[in-house]
Amino acid sequence: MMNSPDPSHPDPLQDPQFASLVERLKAQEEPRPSVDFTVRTMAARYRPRSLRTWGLPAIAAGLALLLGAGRWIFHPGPLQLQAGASSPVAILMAAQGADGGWSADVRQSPSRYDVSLTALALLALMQQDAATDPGPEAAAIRAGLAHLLRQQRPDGRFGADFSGSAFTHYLATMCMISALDRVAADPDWAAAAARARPHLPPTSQMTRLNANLARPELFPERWADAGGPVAHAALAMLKR
Amino acid sequence: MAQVRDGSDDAFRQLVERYQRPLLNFFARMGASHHCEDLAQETFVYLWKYRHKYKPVAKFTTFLYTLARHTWLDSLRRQIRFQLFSERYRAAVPDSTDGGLPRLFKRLDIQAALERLSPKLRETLVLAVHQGLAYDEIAAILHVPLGTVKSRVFNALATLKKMYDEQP
Repeated sequence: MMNSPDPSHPDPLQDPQFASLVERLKAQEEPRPSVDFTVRTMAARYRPRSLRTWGLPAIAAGLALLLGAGRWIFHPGPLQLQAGASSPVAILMAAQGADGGWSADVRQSPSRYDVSLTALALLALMQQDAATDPGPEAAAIRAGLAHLLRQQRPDGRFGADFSGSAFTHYLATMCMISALDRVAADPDWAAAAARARPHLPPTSQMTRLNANLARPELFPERWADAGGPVAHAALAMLKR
Repeated sequence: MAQVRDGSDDAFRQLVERYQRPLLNFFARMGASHHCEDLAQETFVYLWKYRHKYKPVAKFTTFLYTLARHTWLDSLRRQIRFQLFSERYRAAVPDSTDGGLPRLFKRLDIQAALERLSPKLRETLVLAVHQGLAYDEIAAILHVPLGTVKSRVFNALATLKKMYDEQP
């Protein structure tokens, strides 16, 4: 389809000074759809839009069912707190462990996702608390940051080595950098951020991580496995 | 589209097959290279959901790209928070990158240049060049006068040209 020229406005696409530029733009390679794109799209019409549209109570309840109802029933510690919480902030505050961290495991036993979940919860709380710093969540944030500091390895990396370690390290480092903006920032946070810097992922990977994090509904299983209601509460706060 | 409005699966499948590549290209050119397929799918789901709102007097592509644009803007809003992180990350830890950004600016890629345009200029240019839509149709999608569309296209091209002219 051609752009129709208008006598009162010359058509810029036909302007000779832009000819090579327009040619280069048109020559850009088109992305190819996956072979199952049509099938997936047909099915997507009847799929719930995303977890976040259900509302947090429904998310918590749904995840409880999805994530092995038996286990949650027999170990009803943190989940009871979360089910009684009325807002994302309340969910996070209620789910914080005694050591200052957040656990992806309902029984609070160590999980490889704990560092990233703790960082995610802290980023959300720091955003919430920024306007009133030091606000009601300040103590929880300081405890969380202290916990995160204890998770930093001697070489500066955060978290264990596994497939999600780049993401974990990125979140924890961003958390430390964000914490430096707070009133009475601890010098240890700056030192931790400096030690973490050399291990941050390359820019290209950062972009991908950001894209994934901004669209958690694209991998709900992964998030559910990784962080459960705490992750969803934190993401809901960060999206505001 | 009339059949889609009546709930025909076959008609909807044909629309998906016909427009999936243009939509993917639209989102990729707007800068969503990592999740253009998800956004295209989201647009088709909106199309199905809002099929009853389509009025036969309007061109189908006007309706489709209006939905695509809303999908894109919605995705931008969701990403703003993390784009801020990303910018912060670059500013705070410039020595931690793999050299990707300096390389990008040394060898200015056409897509990178496109993504440096303001969203208004970029969407107008992408609809005109990559989607090949007529100016009056773009005006209807963006809810701006025809002259504004042309001046945006001109400004977008002039800005891109300036980027290349200033390249060392």
